[in-house]
Amino acid sequence: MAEFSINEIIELAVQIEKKGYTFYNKALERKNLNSNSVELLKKLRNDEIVHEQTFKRMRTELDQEEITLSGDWQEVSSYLRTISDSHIFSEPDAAIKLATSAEDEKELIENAIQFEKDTLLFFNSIYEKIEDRAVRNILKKIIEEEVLHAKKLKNLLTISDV
Amino acid sequence: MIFFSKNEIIEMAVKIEKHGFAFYDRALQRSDLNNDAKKLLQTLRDEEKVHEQTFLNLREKIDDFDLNSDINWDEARSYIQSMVNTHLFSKPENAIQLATNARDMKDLVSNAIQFEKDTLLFFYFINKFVVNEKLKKAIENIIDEEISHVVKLKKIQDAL
Repeated sequence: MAEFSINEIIELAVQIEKKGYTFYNKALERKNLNSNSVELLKKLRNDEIVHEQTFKRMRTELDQEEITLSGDWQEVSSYLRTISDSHIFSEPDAAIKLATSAEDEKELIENAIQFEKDTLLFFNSIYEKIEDRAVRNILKKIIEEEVLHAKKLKNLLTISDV
Repeated sequence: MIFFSKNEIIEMAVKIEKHGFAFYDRALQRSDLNNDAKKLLQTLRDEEKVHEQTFLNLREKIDDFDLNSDINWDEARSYIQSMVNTHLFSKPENAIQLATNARDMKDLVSNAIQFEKDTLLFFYFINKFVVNEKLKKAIENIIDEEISHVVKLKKIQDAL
């Protein structure tokens, strides 16, 4: 299996953030969401846009040739591909479908949590395998924000009993 | 500041492995499995047992638990707790249900993948907050094995 280039990985990250934005944006079109959910979904949607831009900047600002990859990169590539292929939004239109056809608010929030967790796993996996300090710092910050997303979504599920 | 005790972290890991074992064990009782899937599920079930044992042994061996001193433990606790709470098998009965109620093999394998992914996420976070060398090494080995589980399950899924 072909190895991933840094550029491809960044592209995958950009796509994940884009799909996250699409999911939250579509979710906000639903009627009967409670006001806590609306507020959180808006915030998450906006964060995904910022993350997407961060990755795009990474592509232009970093010297990709300089980035050190872990020695077993071929194995890592195959794992990253699996993680990316089994991401909840990996199929085209999955993000839209999961936002529109979720049976109720609970299912919608559960899908959002799954998205955040799958995304976290993807970023964590990259984080562990890239030694470049600049890339790791950016990823670390995004991971921290996505963790916060998962936590807030989980709270919503617990507190508002949606 | 609230700290995790050695026992708490290991106990969470043990539980996850236990639930994994219960899931694979129950899945193997299904009558709709093909040979490849059966063989893989058996391996995964046995490995969950070994992982559980690894953590139980560590509990005996590590007297003092060096925890990373420059991290915010309130935050770490809440991260890890969130990962545990949103783990697919957060309750023991979930593992059994997801093995028995899966509509077909495809559904079963995708539950297994989700379990392995949730478990990986949990271990990645634990690993960030642990500095004890023995525990770190054990977690890293287990991470590598869980990664190979995901890759193997995905192959089975793609062939279905």
